[in-house]
Amino acid sequence: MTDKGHFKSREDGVDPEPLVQEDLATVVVRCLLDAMIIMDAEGRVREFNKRAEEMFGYRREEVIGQELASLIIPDEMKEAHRRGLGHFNKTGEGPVIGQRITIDGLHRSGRRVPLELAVTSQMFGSERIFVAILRDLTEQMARQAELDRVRSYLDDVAINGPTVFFVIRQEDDGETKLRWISPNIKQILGFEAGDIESEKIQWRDCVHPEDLEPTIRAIEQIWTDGKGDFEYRIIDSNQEIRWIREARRVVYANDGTVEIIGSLEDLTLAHRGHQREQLLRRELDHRVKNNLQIILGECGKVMRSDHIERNQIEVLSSRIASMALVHQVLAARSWGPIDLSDLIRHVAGAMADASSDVDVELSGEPLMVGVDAAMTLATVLNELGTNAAKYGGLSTCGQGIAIGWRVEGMETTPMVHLEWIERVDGQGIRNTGEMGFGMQLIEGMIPYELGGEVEIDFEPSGLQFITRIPLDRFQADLGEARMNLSDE
Amino acid sequence: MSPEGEEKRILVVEDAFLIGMDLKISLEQLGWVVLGPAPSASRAMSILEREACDAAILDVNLGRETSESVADYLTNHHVPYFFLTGYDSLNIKDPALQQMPLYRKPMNREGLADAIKKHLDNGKAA
Repeated sequence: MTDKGHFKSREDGVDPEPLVQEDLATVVVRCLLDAMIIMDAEGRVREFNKRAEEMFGYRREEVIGQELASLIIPDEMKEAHRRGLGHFNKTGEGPVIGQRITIDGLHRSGRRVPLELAVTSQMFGSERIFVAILRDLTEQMARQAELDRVRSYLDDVAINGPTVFFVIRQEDDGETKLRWISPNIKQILGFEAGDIESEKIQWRDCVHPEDLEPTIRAIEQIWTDGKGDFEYRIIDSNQEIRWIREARRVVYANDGTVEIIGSLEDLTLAHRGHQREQLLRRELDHRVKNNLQIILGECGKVMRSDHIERNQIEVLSSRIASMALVHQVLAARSWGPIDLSDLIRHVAGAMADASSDVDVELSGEPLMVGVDAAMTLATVLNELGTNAAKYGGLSTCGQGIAIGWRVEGMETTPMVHLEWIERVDGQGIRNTGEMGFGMQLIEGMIPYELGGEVEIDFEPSGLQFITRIPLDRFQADLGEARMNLSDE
Repeated sequence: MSPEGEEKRILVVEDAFLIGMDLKISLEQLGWVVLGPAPSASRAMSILEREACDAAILDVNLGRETSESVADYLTNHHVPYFFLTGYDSLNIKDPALQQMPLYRKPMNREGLADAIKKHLDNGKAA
């Protein structure tokens, strides 16, 4: 430090000391934004600038003459460093020399410092020195890690998310070209993103023909409005119709490029839900009016009698109560299918309340009933129950009812076989010759509304009611048959 | 009006059993001989092939189909009829059929008697 303005040479034979004295070179080295370390052929530190002090936590005075490897090189690389230096000293060749590499250094505290390292070698007088310029990459690495993290979120959205994104660029000739589309298009429409980008699959060919013209108009409008969204149908790779909402925004970049950033959302499920809701409303309206019509009819019947009997009012009230019960049970299931044993339990539960000391015994596989069939079935079962309470298995001489069901003929025409077997002690008191309205209903309603068969036998042991109903009619969804009609 | 004592025969097409039965009873009390009730168009057509028919009341939606084909047949054979529906909109494509008289459920006996007097008895006389 005393001999200012000169580089000292090794030939002085003194202990290693700083090479740079206070002159222009010293100032430059001190002002470098990067760390600079000079090492000699024996691997000792000969120069260590201010930046290096900050980067590694050592003061210059402390490290001059120390072995570099023992200071700032992590353990696992010390050996390689020493070998490399030896090799260079023998051959003049080293893989690191003249390169820019990324490597970890070691701070005094033991913290690893990610570095960009550039080493050159040259002669200084008769002495070989190595000049290393080191740049701290900690911040840059953190930034990169953050970018990678965000990028991985974006990748996840683009691969697994429900929304498809795309970028369209306006080329110099004014033509637009799809530049990128997110790979999740595969999940939503079944097309490979690459096939769309390469125009092997043309958007135009996938749009529902009825929607093509209005959609093209909407797309052109985006250039005027700057942004907008519109809905249309796409025929997907399975030839199925999907409802799509597309949103587009025009982006003018500083470099003059004009791009459209867009997104596609699959609305098919929502559309189906909406359709079902409309259907439901319509069917419920229809059903309410039918029920009112039936009630009016029942009231008419009572009114037409010469004198009104209490019994008639009871029958009327029981039928209305049964309609109300079925309505309630089906409404609780959002007008979807209902389990048969649930349905019977509800209807029979109302009966069993009336006569609590007799059994209603159910046996059968789990089986779902569609809403239409459930209404029919519940009406018939209610009528059977009303009769049973008066004359049969639920009456004073009744010993209960066994209700069983199974599905038959799975290989040909599946039919639901349902039987209602009443048990009475002694002779039943039913007059089998009379064909009242209740019996007409029990016999006629299932064939009329569900295309089933009904068989009624008045056995000495009690009434037996057996019906066979085609499974498809039994399980038809609400308004399934009317679905096509209401689409008109 | 048909001559006194001659049977007036009316076809009822209605997919709800209880409504069909009630219409049958009401119409019988109004002096009609009821054909049906038929729950489907095919049932109705097979009745029409066998029986003479002077008038008809048609529910529009019959579960899996509409009564359009029956209406066409009746129109072609100059049999008067009207529609009776529980729906707010009529699911009938044929504009000619859309011109036919339409009544909505629920309909009481008096309404039924009026509708018949207005459309079906007159139609027969014409």
